[in-house]
Order: sequence, then C-alpha cells, then structure tokens
Amino acid sequence: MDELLKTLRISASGMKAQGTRLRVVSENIANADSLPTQPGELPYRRKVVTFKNELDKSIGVKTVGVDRVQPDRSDFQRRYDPAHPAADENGYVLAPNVSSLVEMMDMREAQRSYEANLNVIKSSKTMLQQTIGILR
Amino acid sequence: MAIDPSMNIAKAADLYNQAQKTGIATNTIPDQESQAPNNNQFSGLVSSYLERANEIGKRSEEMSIKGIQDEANITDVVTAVSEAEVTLQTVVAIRDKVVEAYKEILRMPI
Repeated sequence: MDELLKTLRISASGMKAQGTRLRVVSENIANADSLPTQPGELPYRRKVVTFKNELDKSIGVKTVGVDRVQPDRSDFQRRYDPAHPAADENGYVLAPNVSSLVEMMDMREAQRSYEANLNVIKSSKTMLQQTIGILR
Repeated sequence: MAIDPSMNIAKAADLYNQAQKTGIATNTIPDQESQAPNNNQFSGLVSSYLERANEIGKRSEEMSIKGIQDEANITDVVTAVSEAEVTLQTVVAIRDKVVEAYKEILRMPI
C-alpha cells in the first residue's frame, strides 16, 4: 500500500479517537449539573478518555485508538443548597467533579488535534493528486 | 492494494519500451498470443488496475451506505471514498498517458 494512503488511514484513526474524546467531554458538560436525587446518593462522576497505540495489521502501521473511558476519581464538589432533595443535614449537596473550564480546555485540545489530523489528510491527498497530475 | 504512483509511471515506461520491442513500433502484425490479455501488456495493466479501482470503489460504496444507515463512522466513509477517488484518478491518468503514446506512434510517418 502506498505510504500516502497509509497516512490517510492513520490520520483517520486519530480523528476517530478525538471524536470519542469530544463525545466524552460533551457527556461531562451535559452532566455538570446532574446532582443526586436522594441524600446518600452520588452525583455524576466525570469521565476521562485515554488513548493507546494500536497496530493496524492490515497495513502494518501504528494507529491511535481509544484505550478506555475511565471515571475521574477526584473528589466531588459540595454546594450549599438546603432546598435540594438530596441535601444532607447541613444543607450541602454533592455536585459532580466537572469543571467547565477543564472541559472547555479538553474540548479545544480535541478540536485542535482533529484539525491537525485533517490537515495531514488534506496534504497527503494533495500530494497524491499532484503526483498523478504529472501524468496529465 | 499497491498504488504507488511513481511505480506506476515506471511500469508505464517499461510497457512502452516493451511495446516498441515487440513489434508495434516496427509495424509488424502481432500474433494471436500477444493479443491475448497478458499482465505484461497494456491491456492487462489497465484491466488489472481497473479491477482494483472497481474493488475499492465497491468498498467505498458499501461504506457510504453504512454511513447513511448510521452504522459507520463518517471518517471511515470519507477515507474509503478518498482512497477510491485517488485510485480511479491514477488509473485514468495512466490510461490517458498510454493511449496518448499509442496515438503518437500511430501518427508516425512510415
């Protein structure tokens, strides 16, 4: 297989991985206010995605893949909201360990990485077409 | 899939040389055997590449259908379609070039 066509596949795998990352970010952002419904229950726990190196045996190159989507083990936030049904005796409710700033940064990173892979695809395709163009 | 454009150019040049040696340029009538599709001949080259392009085209179509049915990743669809596009462009470019070379030989004053 042509190296430039392999490049297409590798970059596509990167784009897929970043797509998954953005999905996880969107889950986190959407659930940033998913509080528990009863006292003693836990709120939504933030998820983080990890990537790993994968060997694509059909073309013999290392591509990227999603290793797993893991829960973020950091502590939950505590909000003072005595009116909430899940508030404890002191009026505090456990809130998800999602920080919108962190999520926004993660989203931007996914976006930039996606764009970088997209640019690699564009440039390898242009290179291929220019090579074929010599014949014309 | 072995689509290396630079290799294809080398192949086309080889074929052109062979064609010159095996009689087309010296204006002898080729015998039946050399007219049969042979992998060393132009027709063999074009048909084998067309076959491959067809194969990749089919795959890209399958991926497109899967994409429409929400079964495949859009990135996979785009990659498959791009591969098919590039392969077909290679085949068309080589065909055009070799046909042009044959025409050039036909125009040669004898």
